[in-house]
Amino acid sequence: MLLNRLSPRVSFGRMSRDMDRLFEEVFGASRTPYSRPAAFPALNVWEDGDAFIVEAEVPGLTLDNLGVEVLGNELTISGERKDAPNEVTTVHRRERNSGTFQRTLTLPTEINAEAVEADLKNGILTIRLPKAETAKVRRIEVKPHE
Amino acid sequence: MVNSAIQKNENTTCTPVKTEQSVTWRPPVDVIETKDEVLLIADLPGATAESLDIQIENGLLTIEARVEPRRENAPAYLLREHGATKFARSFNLGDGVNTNAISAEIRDGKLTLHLPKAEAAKPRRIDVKSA
Repeated sequence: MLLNRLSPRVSFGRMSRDMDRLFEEVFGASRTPYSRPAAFPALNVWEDGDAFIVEAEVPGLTLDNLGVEVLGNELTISGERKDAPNEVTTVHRRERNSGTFQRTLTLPTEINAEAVEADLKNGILTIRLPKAETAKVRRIEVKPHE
Repeated sequence: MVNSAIQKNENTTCTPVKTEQSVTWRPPVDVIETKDEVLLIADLPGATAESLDIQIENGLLTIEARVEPRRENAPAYLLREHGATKFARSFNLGDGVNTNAISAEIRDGKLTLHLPKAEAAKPRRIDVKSA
């Protein structure tokens, strides 16, 4: 389960007056909306011919703390995100998710698990999931009647 | 007043702002204070040191990162939960931060900003002498 740590409301409740002076967010006229996805990690998924591509945002994660598993037509991404700076005296904001997470995605067809490839770069995990042979589109030759 | 304004914004439903070419997202941050510094950690997936622009002007800290599109043509998505072309967020720094000594590093799409406290803002131990 993903631990959504303190909600913004709770952490703001803890913010001291001193911190208001030390560090305060600015909202200008062109402020942008808050971008917290419903589940971690946020995913983009699309079909590329004989494969599905899954692009997951996993900032701060490395190969050591990420797991990718495929079973049938299900993809599971799991891992743990830890940030433990030393000698923390006060936590002013905690908007980033931390702790262990697991997200399972059901794809439209069976996957050839042997041929799955994953690549991690700059906090983006890209997984290429080729469809199983049985799931590929087959063209049926129609012969003209002689 | 300031706090209530922030809260109101924080609880707004998340929807990307769509302009003609770009989608700007406000990245989640952690702000953690230690004895000597304030750490700002931001999730900027896809951003690199080259794509980051961090500026401080009159106590205003602005973090911006452009993320290059990873595909030329947008595919037909089965699921679409991200797609920022730019991350942006601003903070006012108080006098307690030594703005001349701020440093930053980005690794695996995670930005860490070190904001050292000014001497005056550091906790001080008062020695008590026995009479």
